[in-house]
Amino acid sequence: MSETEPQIEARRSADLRLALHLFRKNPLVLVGLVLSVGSIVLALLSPFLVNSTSWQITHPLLKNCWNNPLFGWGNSNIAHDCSSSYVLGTDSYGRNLLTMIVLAIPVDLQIALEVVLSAVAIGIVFGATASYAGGIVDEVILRVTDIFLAVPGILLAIVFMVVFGRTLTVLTGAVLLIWWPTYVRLVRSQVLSEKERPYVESLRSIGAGRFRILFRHIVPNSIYPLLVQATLDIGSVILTVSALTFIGLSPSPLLPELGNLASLGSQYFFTAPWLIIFPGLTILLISLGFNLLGDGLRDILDPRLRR
Amino acid sequence: MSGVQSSELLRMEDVFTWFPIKGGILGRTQAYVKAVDGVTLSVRRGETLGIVGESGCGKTTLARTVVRLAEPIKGRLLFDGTDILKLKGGRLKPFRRKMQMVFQDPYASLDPRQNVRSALTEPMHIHGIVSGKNEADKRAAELIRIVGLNPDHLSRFPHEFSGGQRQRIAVARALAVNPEFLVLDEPTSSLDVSVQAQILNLLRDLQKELGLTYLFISHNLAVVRQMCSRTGVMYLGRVVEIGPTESLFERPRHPYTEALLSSVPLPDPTKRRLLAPLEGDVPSPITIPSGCRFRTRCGYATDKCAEVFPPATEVAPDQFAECLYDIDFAKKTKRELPVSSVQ
Amino acid sequence: MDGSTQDILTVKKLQVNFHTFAGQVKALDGVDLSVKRGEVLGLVGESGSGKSVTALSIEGLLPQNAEVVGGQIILNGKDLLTEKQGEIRTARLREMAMVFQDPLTYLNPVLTVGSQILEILETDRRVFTPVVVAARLEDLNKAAREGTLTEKETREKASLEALLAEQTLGRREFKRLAKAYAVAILGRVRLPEPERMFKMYPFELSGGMRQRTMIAMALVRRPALLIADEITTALDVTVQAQILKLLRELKDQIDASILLITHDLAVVAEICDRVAVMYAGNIVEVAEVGELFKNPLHPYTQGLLAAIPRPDAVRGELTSIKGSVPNLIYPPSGCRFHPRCPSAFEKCPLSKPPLVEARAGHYVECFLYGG
Repeated sequence: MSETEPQIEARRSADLRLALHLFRKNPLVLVGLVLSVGSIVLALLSPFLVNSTSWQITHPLLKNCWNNPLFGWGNSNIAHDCSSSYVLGTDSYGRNLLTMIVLAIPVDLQIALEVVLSAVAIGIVFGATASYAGGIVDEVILRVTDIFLAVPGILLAIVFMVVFGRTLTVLTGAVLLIWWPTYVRLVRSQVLSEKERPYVESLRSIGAGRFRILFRHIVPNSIYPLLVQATLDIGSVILTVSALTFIGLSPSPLLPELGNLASLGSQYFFTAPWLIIFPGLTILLISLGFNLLGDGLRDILDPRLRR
Repeated sequence: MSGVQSSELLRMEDVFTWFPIKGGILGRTQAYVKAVDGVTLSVRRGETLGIVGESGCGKTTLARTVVRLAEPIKGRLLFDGTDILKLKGGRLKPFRRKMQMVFQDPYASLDPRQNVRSALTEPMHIHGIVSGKNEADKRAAELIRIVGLNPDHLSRFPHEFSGGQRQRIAVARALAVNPEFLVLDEPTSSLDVSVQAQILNLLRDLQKELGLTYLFISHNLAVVRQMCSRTGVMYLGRVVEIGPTESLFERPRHPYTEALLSSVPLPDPTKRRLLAPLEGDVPSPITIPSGCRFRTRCGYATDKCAEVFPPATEVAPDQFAECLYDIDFAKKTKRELPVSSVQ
Repeated sequence: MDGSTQDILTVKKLQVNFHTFAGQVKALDGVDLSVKRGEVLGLVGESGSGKSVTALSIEGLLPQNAEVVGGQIILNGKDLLTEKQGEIRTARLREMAMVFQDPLTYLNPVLTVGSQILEILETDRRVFTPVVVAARLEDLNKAAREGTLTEKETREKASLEALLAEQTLGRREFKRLAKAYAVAILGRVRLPEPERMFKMYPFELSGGMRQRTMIAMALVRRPALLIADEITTALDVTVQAQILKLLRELKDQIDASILLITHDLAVVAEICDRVAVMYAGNIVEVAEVGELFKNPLHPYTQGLLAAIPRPDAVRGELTSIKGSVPNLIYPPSGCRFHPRCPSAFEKCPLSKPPLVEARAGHYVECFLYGG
């Protein structure tokens, strides 16, 4: 009457094997995984690795200190007390650059996560509402996202920060302003296509209400593309945040934030190049990591590749 | 249609389900797809009423209209004497519980991320027929056994099952809320022949045990013949002939029924026929021919067929056909029906 | 089942595996099949029986992850698995044509029906030159016999006869003849107003008309073997009857064998001469159609015939075959049907039964009948 047990087991292990296969076929996912998970672990451990208030303490005498023979840049320091214990040298405030980077990673990641998670939440609420209500509600929500998408994102964020002041919260809000419309549209199109699947009709015939169908069935079934987009966007959000602080919209010049650190270093590009290179490299690696991971997730989760 | 009103569980009266076609910049309605175009029929308690027809004849829309998935533009839909078209929301809910639907494609009609247990218990919670999780789980285990599966299967997901097993799960879910009436929309058309028989037998046994009433939609005349006590034949949105299955198959009165029946290949090489009595294709349900809608393909059509709308006439006991003529298909002769026999 | 010369197609011990992530699917497990000249052979089986894989192997359309492990496919004397690629291509092109279940997938939506037919002819002008010339000559000869030949046509006839010997034809001349030939074929598949059909796009046609178009496209090549893969499955009964009627007419007109692949035994009963029943990658039974329906030998065939509901009689309980089609990654040992078979005995799981001739012309792969 029914399928034999080994057959059902076979179907299960086939899914697993396929996922593993896709993983192996695309070794860059592994690189992405190492980089992104590595950065998250580093961020979580940073309070234990370095003194989390050390960014507020400046050492004018240790300005732009570098004594690292490995890279061969000369010691451009005017002061005396330079030693190679500053592996990446010191910045223009005399702070240990490595410590600053370790402190900056959680700041950037936190902003990125806040932005992406809020965008996903806004996307689910408004996107699902728009697609399920349809008609005038859909039209209004769509046109509002149109307006936001029509204005260049960075410009929008700059204006927002100029108006509301330069704090971390405003910075997060400014970047969220750029990202939320994409998610509304993504969720809306996902729900629209999911809504047409026969199981939705069968749920309606059972007597399931709109909200139950929407939030218990349709949204969970459209979560994969959302997950992929969110992962990809963590990298992009970090880039944008860094860009904003780099051009001078940092809440404080001392703030350990990767864009801000690079911005500080940019003034000494010729005399102390490490000051811009290492924060820049960190930005690159983290956003690359999340991008590769997102790409890999898309390959693994995409049902079109499954059969 | 017959005099025995009390035995009717469901009655459709002049039901029209039209879908607007919007077009132009203003999105005005330009025409209608007349999927169900004036259907009157009744389903009697405990019987299986079959609806057959070709694709596009409106049989699936009819099914969707009955379970209120498609909104008719006019007509009455009486379930146990109550016009459920007038009900909404909370007042409709008890009726939704009493009639459930099984869909054609068992691969698509189950939520892929929901395991079997959750799929079976969800309708129970929606309709509040169980008092707690334990009772629901117990009932789910009982249901899965009724449809011939194993309680071990409850924690599995739809993709781990074969087509026949998924259709069993779909049946179990429809039964979860103790319905009286099941609408079966092509329940076996995506299954293999050997499995089809398993599902048909299961449906028959369940009907006997639980006293269910079925509305059985199918394009497969052979399956309808085996399953149904009465059969209606749909063409372009109307039931052109309806009657007891035996007499309808043995002595069809409407020329479309006759053509349909003689088009079905028989699994018997000694009875080869294939006269292919019908030329051409079904006309569009947007522009339905005047008078009798079948006249454009009918071999017996006259000028009168274009002018007069044929009423349903009782051509044999309990058998009604929408045709102006009484046709002898063997001799290819016809005789005009007296108007007095009109229902 | 010897590969005698009266067979247009012989498949011997064909084994095909599919490589998937879940493991190797042993889709075909030594398929033996032969299509005689001029016959209609029905190949029936449920989903997963391997009937489509058999067709794809013959057509050379197996997907990338398939591997032919062993066996032979001999089309008109040429082994399609060992000959050179070019040879195989010409052999397929000249000898065989296919019609599929879903015409819309195979018709180009942006080209007219006519230009798609002309394209077939023009891509192999050398092959089709004698075909189109012969078709025109046939018309002219017919006119000559009836005495309605004009002077211009007499001249045309003479020049065409000369051309037929040389086998060369100018591009424009070829196109003119090809068009006339294509229109004639469209008429032959009973499409109304073939000249108008020639200029229509696939989306303007109904399902039945599209399937007729596909059949026309297959027939332009004058194949010796026509493979029809589930061609009526997507059609309504009344349209299916039209297409089957057409096939039956064509069978007498064209000089071709037809390999009809279907899951529907009723369709087989209506138009086939012989039937081969497939189950889980094996041919389990082959017989004349009358013999098979009257006297099915294999337990699977018996079960299948008993499971079909009939429109002309009511049965009580429908018989069904227990269980479902096995997963061919882990096929059952010995006879692949034994776990579902009501008459299985000790020998069945041990080795694969051979195909034996149980009665004259009636072959069965089952230990109940020896082997």
